[in-house]
Amino acid sequence: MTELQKYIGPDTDVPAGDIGVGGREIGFMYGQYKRLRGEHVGVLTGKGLEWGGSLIRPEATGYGAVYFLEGMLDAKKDTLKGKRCIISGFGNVAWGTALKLAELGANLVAISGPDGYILDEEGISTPEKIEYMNELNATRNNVVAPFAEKFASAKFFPGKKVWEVPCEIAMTCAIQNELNGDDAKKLIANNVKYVVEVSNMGCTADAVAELQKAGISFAPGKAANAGGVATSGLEMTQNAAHLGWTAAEVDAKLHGIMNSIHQNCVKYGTEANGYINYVKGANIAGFIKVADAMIAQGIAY
Amino acid sequence: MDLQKLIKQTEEKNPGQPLYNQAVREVLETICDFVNEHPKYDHYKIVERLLEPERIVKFKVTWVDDKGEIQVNRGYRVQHNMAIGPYKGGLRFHPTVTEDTMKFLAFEQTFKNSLTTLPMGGGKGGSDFDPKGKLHD
Repeated sequence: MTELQKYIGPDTDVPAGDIGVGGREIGFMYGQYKRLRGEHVGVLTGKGLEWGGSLIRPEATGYGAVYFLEGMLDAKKDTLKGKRCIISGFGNVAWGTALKLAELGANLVAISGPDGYILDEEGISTPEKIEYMNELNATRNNVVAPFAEKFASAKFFPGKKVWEVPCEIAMTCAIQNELNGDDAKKLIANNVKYVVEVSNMGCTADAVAELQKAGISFAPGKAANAGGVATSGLEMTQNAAHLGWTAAEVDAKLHGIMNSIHQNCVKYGTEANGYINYVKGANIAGFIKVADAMIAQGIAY
Repeated sequence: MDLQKLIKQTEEKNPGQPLYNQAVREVLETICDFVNEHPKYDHYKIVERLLEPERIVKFKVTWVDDKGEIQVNRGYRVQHNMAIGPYKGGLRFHPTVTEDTMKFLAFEQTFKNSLTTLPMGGGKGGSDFDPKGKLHD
């Protein structure tokens, strides 16, 4: 932050957390920024509630992804209730996703780590199990195996990728390129219906091609995980206005934003045969706004 | 826009950066038809302009670990595009972080932030610092 502070500011560049940067790290960096600059401003998001943070920010990426998934289901006149789901990862994004899946009655049966995956046929939906993901993450050991020692119904599969578990909904919640073409083929063979990229570029280009070829409903990260940055944007708004919204207010705004992203994807991504190409829809919708703004502002950049 | 030419040009200009090239290719392939149906984007060279981040800051981070040893890491901030608002995007601390990772994430962030309907441009930053095992409590 000693170096980074030269290049950022509440109206120029507002960093947030990501992999390896959570509330603790944002806190230390925010403290250093204030020590150097003497300003309590919204220069970082993902701050603690007591010092400028927003309610729902920790849950936002996962919540948003599930709201987007609801849109995908709804577009196929389908519902989330009782659907068998698997996710990769057990970090902050996986946790938020698990919370919202449980709240909406989905049946999450698997999570994973770099060391293998956990399969729990009784469901990963109780508060104890979901909160334990947070505890595991906080140890920073980056292993998911202890989950099976803690809960008798859970089984650990060392060194295996979670995508071999049959499911209707698969969500990538760990890191880029974690689901490849072969993984996609396994999911398709097991009759997966929806694949949601919650990590950035969680699927390889091969995987996306396989899923789209098979007509699987597939959401790219830049649409499905936008809830995280959207809620960061809501944190910036609250900071600039010097106020704090309730959890319900933030959640409702997040839900509205995810709905509008879904509608935009449908608008620009629906193909002649009715298949919704979310990758295309998201890229075009995202492009138009930036491109038109660039044209309007001349050859500035 | 000439899709193949732009993909090739991006590969030549960004050698050894497979993630960035992967992300660019995916976007270009999906927006190509749309861009070609709207000549203004080509006229203003919007796609070409989006393929170059506005700024990349790369710096040294020197620190002392718990054993008193001096460590050196790299820090990055890629400021990709601020056409619709301040640069916005996360900081990643992970041993796999390279300029390639940062550029691909900042590029994607610009499109994602635009989708949110909120006024935020695209950026990304971080370090190859590994937070694993560095508990401070």
